[in-house]
Amino acid sequence: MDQPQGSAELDEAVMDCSLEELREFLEADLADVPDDLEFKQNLRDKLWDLVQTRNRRRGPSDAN
Amino acid sequence: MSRRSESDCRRSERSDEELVEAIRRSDEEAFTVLYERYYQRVYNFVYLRLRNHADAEEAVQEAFTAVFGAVASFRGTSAVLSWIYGIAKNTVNNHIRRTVAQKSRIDRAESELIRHLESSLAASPEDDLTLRRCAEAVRDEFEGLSGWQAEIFAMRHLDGLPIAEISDRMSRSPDAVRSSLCRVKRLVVAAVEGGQPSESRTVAERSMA
Repeated sequence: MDQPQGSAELDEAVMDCSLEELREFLEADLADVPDDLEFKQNLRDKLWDLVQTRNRRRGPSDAN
Repeated sequence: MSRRSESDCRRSERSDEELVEAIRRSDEEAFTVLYERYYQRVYNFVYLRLRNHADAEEAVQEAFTAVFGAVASFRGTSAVLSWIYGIAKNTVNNHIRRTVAQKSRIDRAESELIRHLESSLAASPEDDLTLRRCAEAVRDEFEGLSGWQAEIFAMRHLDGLPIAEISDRMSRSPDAVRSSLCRVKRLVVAAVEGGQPSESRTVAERSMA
């Protein structure tokens, strides 16, 4: 699986966006766009593996 | 997948920030809730810009990988909503930039290949060697493809079948067929560029920069 684009810190630093943009994003799920449930499920499984791998790498002492 | 329904997940009263905290403790239910809360939003947002399901799936995977890959180090200096939105927006913009650059690269490589083929009628031994290297590089790339990708490429470019017919025969969506053709084409272009003399490669690399 591909690595993420950059650190969360970097990503958070470039998240300047207007209310209008956020509203558009929030309402995007109202659009009638067909999607592939198999893709959604496969992606979900890959992402959960990724989360677990990252959390294991951090170790229990960093979890809080 | 959790047994909770999609609508249950989206109605969960836990805030995004609480879910992120729980995901850091490997709480799978929290992960499912956050994923369900944002999947359709991100998918539609991306699709409405790219207008192609194959590209949208690629970009959605990239965006969510960035989100969940960085969840452990998310510091909360912005709201989760705007963080995810920003990542989705950046991913789409990068995807569009890459597509434009790729199209230009493919067009250029096709012109180069045609030029080589046209000049091969009066080819020098050096040109012959270059063409042989290109052919070997292309053959190596094809050997590395999965069977169905090579089959789709052959149906389209050797048999001249339309996308719809290939889609029917291979039981894959037209977008998946197009996406596969595009990937194979990229491999062929890279192989052809790799088989060219260093002078041509330098020109190609410079124009891609």
